[in-house]
Amino acid sequence: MSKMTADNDVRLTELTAELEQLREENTRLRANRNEAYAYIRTKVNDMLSVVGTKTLRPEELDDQSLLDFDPIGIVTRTFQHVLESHRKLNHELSFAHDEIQAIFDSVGAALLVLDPRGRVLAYNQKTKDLLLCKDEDVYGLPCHDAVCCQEEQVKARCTFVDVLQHRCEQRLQEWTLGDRSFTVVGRPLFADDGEISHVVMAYSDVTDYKKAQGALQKSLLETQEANAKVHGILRSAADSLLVTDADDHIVLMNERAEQLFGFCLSSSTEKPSIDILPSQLLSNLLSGPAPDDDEVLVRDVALSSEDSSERTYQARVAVIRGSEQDYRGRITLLHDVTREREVDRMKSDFVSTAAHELRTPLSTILGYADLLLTQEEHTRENWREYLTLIQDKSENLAQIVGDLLDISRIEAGEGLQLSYEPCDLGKVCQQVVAEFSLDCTKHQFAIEFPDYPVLIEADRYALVQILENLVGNAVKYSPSGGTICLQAELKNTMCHLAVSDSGLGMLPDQVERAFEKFYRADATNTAISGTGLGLTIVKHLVEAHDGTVALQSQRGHGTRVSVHLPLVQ
Amino acid sequence: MSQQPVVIEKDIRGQICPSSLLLALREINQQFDRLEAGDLEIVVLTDNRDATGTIPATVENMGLHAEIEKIAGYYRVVVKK
Repeated sequence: MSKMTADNDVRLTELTAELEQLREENTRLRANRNEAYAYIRTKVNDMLSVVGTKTLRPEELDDQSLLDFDPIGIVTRTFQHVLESHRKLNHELSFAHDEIQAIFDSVGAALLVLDPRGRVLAYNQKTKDLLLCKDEDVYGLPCHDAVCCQEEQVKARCTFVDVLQHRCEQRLQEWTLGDRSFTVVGRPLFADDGEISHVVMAYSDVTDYKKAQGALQKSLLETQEANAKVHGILRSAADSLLVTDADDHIVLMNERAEQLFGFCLSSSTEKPSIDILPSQLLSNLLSGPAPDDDEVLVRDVALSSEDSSERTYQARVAVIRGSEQDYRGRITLLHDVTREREVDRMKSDFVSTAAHELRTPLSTILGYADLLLTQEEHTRENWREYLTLIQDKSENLAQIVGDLLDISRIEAGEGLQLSYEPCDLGKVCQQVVAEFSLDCTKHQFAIEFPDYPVLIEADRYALVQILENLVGNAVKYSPSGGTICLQAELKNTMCHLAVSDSGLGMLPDQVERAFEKFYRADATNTAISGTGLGLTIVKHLVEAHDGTVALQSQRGHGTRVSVHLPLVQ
Repeated sequence: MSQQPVVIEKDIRGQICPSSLLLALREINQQFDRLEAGDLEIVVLTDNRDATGTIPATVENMGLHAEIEKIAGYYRVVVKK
């Protein structure tokens, strides 16, 4: 029994010791678990503090739930995503940096990055090539030592300083370094605190541009001068000039053309069509088939002038082609040929008249000469009559030929061979009138002269020629029975001789043209002989004597020709 | 034509910070691939004002985007690519 009790006591002691050991173990394990929970909470709070949130409190999440919820796992996983995101971002930033660096190096402008104190932080190859004074690296150097090391640049306006002062982009249109020109742009970069952290300076080399600009300005000036010259030539051109484009619109006219056509191209808002031109023939010329390149279309066109009289213009139309031989339009010159055409017509009339004037006396001469040769029996009176007629007609021929030679000499500018001597004009008039009186028995002649000699310094033959022409015209254009009057008046140093008739007279426009070469008031009337040279020769002869001649006439009331000649002093 | 993303709504109203953030992040972590692919949007409903600062800040760091809309009495935080 006692042995049994002793065994139980031993067992109890052992159990007590084991229990104590287990209690201690339990206490230690409990302490470890609390440490683990504390550790988990600490780490979770450390990680949560990174994202700026509050600490995880036990009442928010108890220890048991802490293990189930696994906040470390959540935050760790989150941080993995954050790190992955940052890794991608870094990769993109690195790529972007490389891109920017490539752009930085390859950009056409010289780029310089400065800190707010003007020290060089970065620059590209272009900066090295164009701006830097030194061959070695200039990182950290003040920019005025690195770039503006040339003496004259120190005094120049500093864009970098402007950027610091104004805190915004600054531009300098022209900045020179050596023999090169630049435009400079400075731009500030700001830090988070709003202060300028960097200044990026960009220098664009505009040397070639400046040179090109200078050349362009010179070319422009030359072009403007050439344009002004062309414009001046066009303005001063005596002919009307008209340029049309490929669509038959008028694109250029000179002032003469604007006056002729009565509209101003420069004040027109749109290019007018050639239909606006007042001549259908001209419109057809400008819109019809184009002439060949080396051909000029030439046509006479009748147009109304400013005073509404019809004038004749010679239109010369040539094609304009572009650099690729494409059709660009036509250029037309309109030259006033009214006078030339009139002279042509007068020459044609003259040839006809002269032939008639020569043929009439020649026919008479030939007829009477033939009569004398073929018929043997003639009385002495017949002989005299026939030979007198032949002599008269020969003199007529000589007169015509003489007129032609005179006008030819005048035309050639040779002048007339005159021999001056004092002549009594009254006697010369009487002599001329006496000769006409023999042939023109149906006309009356009156001479009203002073009763003393009227002496003028003249070529006697020329004086006779003048009077014969004037009296001859008066006879030709006066009806039978008409009176031809020769009057002389002396005023100061001049003698005023007037030859007047009461004949057909002339219209005002005929009077205006009476002294023109070949002009005959009524060329169609072949009954009145004449070459149209008489008054022209008279005018030249009178002017050769330092005199003047004038003509007054009224249709149906006769004509008065006044000759003013200087008296012998 | 791109498909409209699937929308998952997670109502964590009643939770305070940082539980709100942890709950939202747990959901976001679980669906991260679909979120990043743009196939999914997670809408977190929370009445904890701090969460409207911490959730967007964290998801932005994860490469995602968050939009907050205030509804009467709570917030609607849309997390998407």
